[in-house]
Amino acid sequence: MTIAVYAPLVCAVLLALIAAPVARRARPSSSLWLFAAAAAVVGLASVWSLVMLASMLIDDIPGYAGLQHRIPVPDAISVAALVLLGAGLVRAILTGARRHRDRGALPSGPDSSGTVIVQSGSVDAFAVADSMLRRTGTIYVTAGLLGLLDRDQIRIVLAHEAAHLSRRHALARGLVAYAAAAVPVLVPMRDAVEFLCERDADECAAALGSRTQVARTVAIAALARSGARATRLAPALHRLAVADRVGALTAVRRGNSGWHLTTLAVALVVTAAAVGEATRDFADIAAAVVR
Amino acid sequence: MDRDQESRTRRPAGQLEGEILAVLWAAPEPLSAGEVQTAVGGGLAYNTVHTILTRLHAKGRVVRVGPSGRSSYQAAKGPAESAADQMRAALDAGADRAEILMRFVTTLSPADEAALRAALDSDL
Repeated sequence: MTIAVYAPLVCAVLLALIAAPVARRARPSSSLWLFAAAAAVVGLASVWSLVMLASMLIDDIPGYAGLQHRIPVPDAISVAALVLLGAGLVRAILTGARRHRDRGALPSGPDSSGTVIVQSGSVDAFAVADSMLRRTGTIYVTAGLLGLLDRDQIRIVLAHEAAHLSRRHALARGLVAYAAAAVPVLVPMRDAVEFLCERDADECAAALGSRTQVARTVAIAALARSGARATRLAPALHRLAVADRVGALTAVRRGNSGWHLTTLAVALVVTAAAVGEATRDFADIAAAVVR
Repeated sequence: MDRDQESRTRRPAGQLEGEILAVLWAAPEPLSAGEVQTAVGGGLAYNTVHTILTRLHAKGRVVRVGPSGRSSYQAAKGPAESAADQMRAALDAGADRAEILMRFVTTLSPADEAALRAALDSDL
């Protein structure tokens, strides 16, 4: 428990470091779910580690002082774990509330499913899944975007958004949204999964035409959208952006490189083993408390 | 053809409806099923187009104009359109970052904007 309990947190940092460079090169269809699973598993394991660390304050509760010699964790670390845990819980609850509020603000007509054309000059297209677990939902396209694109390009946009729904991207995005809320160091993993969802949908749309056509459509829509409004995004070192999607579509397909996936797999195995080890020690201490 | 491949090449449910609605929306006047078929392209069978137009009509998404048998179609004002109006209001009010929306494109940084412009101007 002196070392193993920290392993999930170390893995979370490791994932955060490799997320963007790996996502930029990865084949989206397979790595999307691997990334989402890794973020969810490491997120849960990190939360459990924090719970174990925070619970080591037990010897400071009157009546349990006798346990002090069994506690392998300094009080300062336990307190820090407690604070992180509380902050993560608050962030997760806020995320849930925000998602609920956003869904409430969206139209929900008797038959809103299907494709809806919004008579707005803004350049936008998006899909909203009926729920995280369902393949159904509504696709919204603005008249502004339709006016900008030719027929093949419109078909690409619709295919891209339909792919989000049929391939359950809302589930992957929901999982990592909560993981990143509870364990903020996983934010780069969340961004990587969101990027891989877009890449996956781009590749699905490319099946109707060519990857170059998709790249062109993405570029036209992004430029038109950006021209209309001020840029609010702060530049960041490893930010995954629309330009990376266009780059990936125009590049020769490289596929997943072995060491990236190996790193992910090793991180997951190490996390699982370490959590098991730490939990055994934790159970021993808990048994002493009960006795 | 494996499952992954299949789900990529087959147009997912609802997409053809979307394409046909987009065509009808863009047309200045009502279109016949044949005209819709030509406009949508992509090797669609006439019967498929007709079936989808009938389904859209049943849902109240399109209206039929003219004598039966030789009718034309145009986009309707129905529940979906009021959903669209609500959505426009939401967009105008800045429901911009709602994370449950899966957006086609997001806003570009200035550097990305320059890079994409250059890419479009050259070979893309």
